[in-house]
Amino acid sequence: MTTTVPTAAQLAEVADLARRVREQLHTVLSGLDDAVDATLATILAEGHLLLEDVPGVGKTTLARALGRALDTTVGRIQFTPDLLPSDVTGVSVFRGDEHRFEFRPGPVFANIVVADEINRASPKTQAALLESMQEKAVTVDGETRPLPSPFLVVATQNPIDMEGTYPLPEAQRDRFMTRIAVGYPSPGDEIAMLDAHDGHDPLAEVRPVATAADLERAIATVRGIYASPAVKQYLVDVVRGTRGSADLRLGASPRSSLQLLAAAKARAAMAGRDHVLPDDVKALAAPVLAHRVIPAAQARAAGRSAEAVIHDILARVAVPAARAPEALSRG
Amino acid sequence: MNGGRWRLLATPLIAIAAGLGVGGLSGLVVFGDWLRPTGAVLGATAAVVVLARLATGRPFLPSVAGALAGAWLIVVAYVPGPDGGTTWLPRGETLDGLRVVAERAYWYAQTSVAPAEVEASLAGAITLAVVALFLAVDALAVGAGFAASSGFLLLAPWLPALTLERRVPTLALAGALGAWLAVIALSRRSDRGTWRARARDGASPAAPGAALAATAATLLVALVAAPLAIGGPGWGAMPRLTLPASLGGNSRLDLEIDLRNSLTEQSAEPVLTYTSDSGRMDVLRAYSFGTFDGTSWDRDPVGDTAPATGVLWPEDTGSPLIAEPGTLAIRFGASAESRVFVPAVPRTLAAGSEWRYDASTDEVLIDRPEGTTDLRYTVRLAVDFHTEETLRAADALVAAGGDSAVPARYLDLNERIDIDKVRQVAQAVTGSATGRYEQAVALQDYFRGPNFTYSTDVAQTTGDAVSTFLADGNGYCVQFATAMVVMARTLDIPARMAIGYLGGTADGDEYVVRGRDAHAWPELYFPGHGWVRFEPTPAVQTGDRPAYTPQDTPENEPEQPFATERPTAVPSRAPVPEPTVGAEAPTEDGSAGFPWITVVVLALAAAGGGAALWARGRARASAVTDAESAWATMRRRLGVRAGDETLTPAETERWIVSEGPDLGDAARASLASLRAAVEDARYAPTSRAVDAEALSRWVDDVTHAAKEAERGEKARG
Repeated sequence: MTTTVPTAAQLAEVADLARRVREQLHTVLSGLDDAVDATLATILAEGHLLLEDVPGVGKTTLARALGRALDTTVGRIQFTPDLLPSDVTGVSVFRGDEHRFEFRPGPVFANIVVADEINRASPKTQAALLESMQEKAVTVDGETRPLPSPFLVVATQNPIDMEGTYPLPEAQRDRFMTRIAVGYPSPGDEIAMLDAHDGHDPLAEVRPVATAADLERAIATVRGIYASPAVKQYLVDVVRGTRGSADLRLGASPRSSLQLLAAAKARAAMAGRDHVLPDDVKALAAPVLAHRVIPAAQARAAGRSAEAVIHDILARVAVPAARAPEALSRG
Repeated sequence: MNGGRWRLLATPLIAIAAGLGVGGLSGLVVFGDWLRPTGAVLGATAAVVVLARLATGRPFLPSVAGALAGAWLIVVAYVPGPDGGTTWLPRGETLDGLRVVAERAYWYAQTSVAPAEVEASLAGAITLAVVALFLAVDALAVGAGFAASSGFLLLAPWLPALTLERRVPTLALAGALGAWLAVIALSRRSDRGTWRARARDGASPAAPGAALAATAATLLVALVAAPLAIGGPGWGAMPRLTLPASLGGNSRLDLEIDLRNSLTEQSAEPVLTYTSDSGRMDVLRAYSFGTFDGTSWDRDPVGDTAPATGVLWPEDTGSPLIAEPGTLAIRFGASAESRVFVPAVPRTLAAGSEWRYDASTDEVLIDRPEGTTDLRYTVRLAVDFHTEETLRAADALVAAGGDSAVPARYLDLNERIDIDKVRQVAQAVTGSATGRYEQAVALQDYFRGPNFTYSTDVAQTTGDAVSTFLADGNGYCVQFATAMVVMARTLDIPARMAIGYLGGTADGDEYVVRGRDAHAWPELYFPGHGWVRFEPTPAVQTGDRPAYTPQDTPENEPEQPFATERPTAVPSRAPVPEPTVGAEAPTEDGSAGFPWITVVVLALAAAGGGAALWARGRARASAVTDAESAWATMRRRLGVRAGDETLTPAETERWIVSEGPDLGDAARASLASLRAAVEDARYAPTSRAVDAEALSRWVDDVTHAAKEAERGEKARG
């Protein structure tokens, strides 16, 4: 994969795309700007998104609004315990008139796949989705079929009401670039939401503002974003901080470093910048890292979430300068 | 904030190291209660520095606070007010008081005998020096971060010990060295400090080798270079480390070389103690030296001896000599001499049947294997035997050939001496004198005059030691005594050198004579009267002249602001407690002027050094060459208001705007420009060049606006 240094025009295009998508989503989901930004960064960094929160805060709405705002195909899967892998990937059916098998693509063959309540499906079905996320292809009856590009899985998961569910193991969660807790809206935002739903479906008002081709170009631009050694140093310092933290039983993997950098690049491009700032890393550290680490028993007992631990680490790691000031030799 | 804590610990350690530096004066002053206020002032100053450092992040402000506190404490402790009370609040008169104390300390240092008892003004001067040393080292090591290099300053108080005494109190030196090394070790911990700590100390930790190299260099300078440079060539140039007294040996007069070892070793070992009903003895006499070959003396051979009974005195002056005798009870320690020490006046001994007396040398021999070890005896003496009248009376006998009874060796002059030249000097000195007594007094006055300086720093000479001494004027008691003996002989006065101890120091009812009291003096023969001691060695070493010679007059003695405080400490050794002034010869008229020149030079040097440091600090603070240094400079100037090191430039900008004082639009724009420049420099693939002038301007805009805003807030609130 070759990367080219993005031109100012390309950067402006990405920034403009991000602005337009934000505007559209804002009409539906006021007050979720951070979640929207993280979602956009995830899609531009070719990652996948895990939305984890209580029911009714707009997880699915966010996913659907995103699908509408981007002029792309949207597949939706409601995960249930009896869902089979073939319900996700598609199935070959025999056509008697033509004496051959024909492949009926499953809902996974879409630019944006909304996987609702992924933890309700059996591990086998979960694995089928997660494999296709990793490979960006589906293999049925020995034939490998590529998935469309761009390809984004937005999975939602309900952290309470866990009976009869199969929570995603850590290794599987690692395949999602970001996890976002949507959270409750502020009182003002909630009132605005009531107004928006007054009599009609606000989703219907969301107009497509970007095509799949636009997204493809933006993704290419993001790949060319520059990350200076100082930023990489900072990013590695943060990730290593999770491994040395007494509050964490399991730190973040090297894969998380790659994904954090990719997401930070996307955020930089969305701001029209051709280089990553430590601010990008900071903004995305919790969404990218929190679902990959396991808090230690005492942290859990103290009621500290993984996000809180990550924020503690961010408050400890120094932002490196290009060169240390006054690095004079002292005797 | 871990990075800052070492400073709080380092400052007391530096105070300890500086305080132990007083140990470097061990041979020059007598330690006593005066150390307590010195320690208290030093401790209080260190406490002020530590507290100030807790209160402020600025590197040198604590030093300034410490200097003010230290100066005030010294004024309170050492400068009496006009009414004699304590000066709580320095006023105009305090300057006068300060001047008086300084003059007094200087006079005292010049005239007192080392090791000197320390009186208040001298203690004040020493305290001032110690506090100044502490503040300088603290500013260098903790303020500026040059912990290792500060060792060179800490070396300063040891220079007198190294260059004058060539002895170093090992335990104190080891303590100071240890404290200093601890400061270095502590300073290494600051490498992981906050960004401000690192900005001050340098981000890359100094290699451990740097500390090692500094230690090695310090020891090299202390032990080799300084003594060689200042002491010059010659034996004894290498310093000797002193063992604690409990490990040391006993003192004994070394008759083979000369007294230099006894003098320079500064032995505090008691040789003997005595009680006396007639005050301190001038000298206690043991040996006679009559033959001088130009560079060294030979002991007199033992002549006819008789039991040491009756009045012991070489001249038969008839009985009863001792009409109103004084009594002396002497107790020897471990010292094993072969002669019994007696006063240099007619005396009787109440002890020891095996003792014998040699009238030709005036020595009392003791015939037992252990010599004088643990000897106790009582002496009765003719206290006021020598008087000006009796000595003047001898002139008649001289004319009548009274010297013929004296052995010829006491007039002998070795041909290696430039006899004619010495005689010329002697005749010039005694030109107007009539009679032997006046000649002797003239010679004594000549040596105690301004041309001669007491010093144990005498290079070895081969050939004519007397001419060398007369030319360069530097020597200790042996040189003075030898020169006076030789000059007397050129004037046909029989003369010899006597060796013994000076009278020691009072300790309760007793007097204690120590190894460092070893002394040599000339004796001149007065027919019909005997051998009479004169004292050419300057007052710094021996104190007053013999009572039977004219005393110092106010014209040739420096003014004494406190006559009762006349130095009583005992004789010997080093010139004066202050090496810087001690080496100077007294001024022409014999009065020592206050060394204003020295003070002015020192003050100028201090001011110059301070200005250089300040300028360097300014230069470093304003060393805005690129965006990174501009950013660092701005953060340093804003201090805590710039947030901490975990903030990105953009977050720092927000922090300053939200938490700091209100900067105003222009300064906020400058701050944003600065932030953009540093982000660009750090993180962009190719950074735009921003000229240093613009960066400097932005930095100044922001810091100036912050200061203004803060001032405004203070004014309002």
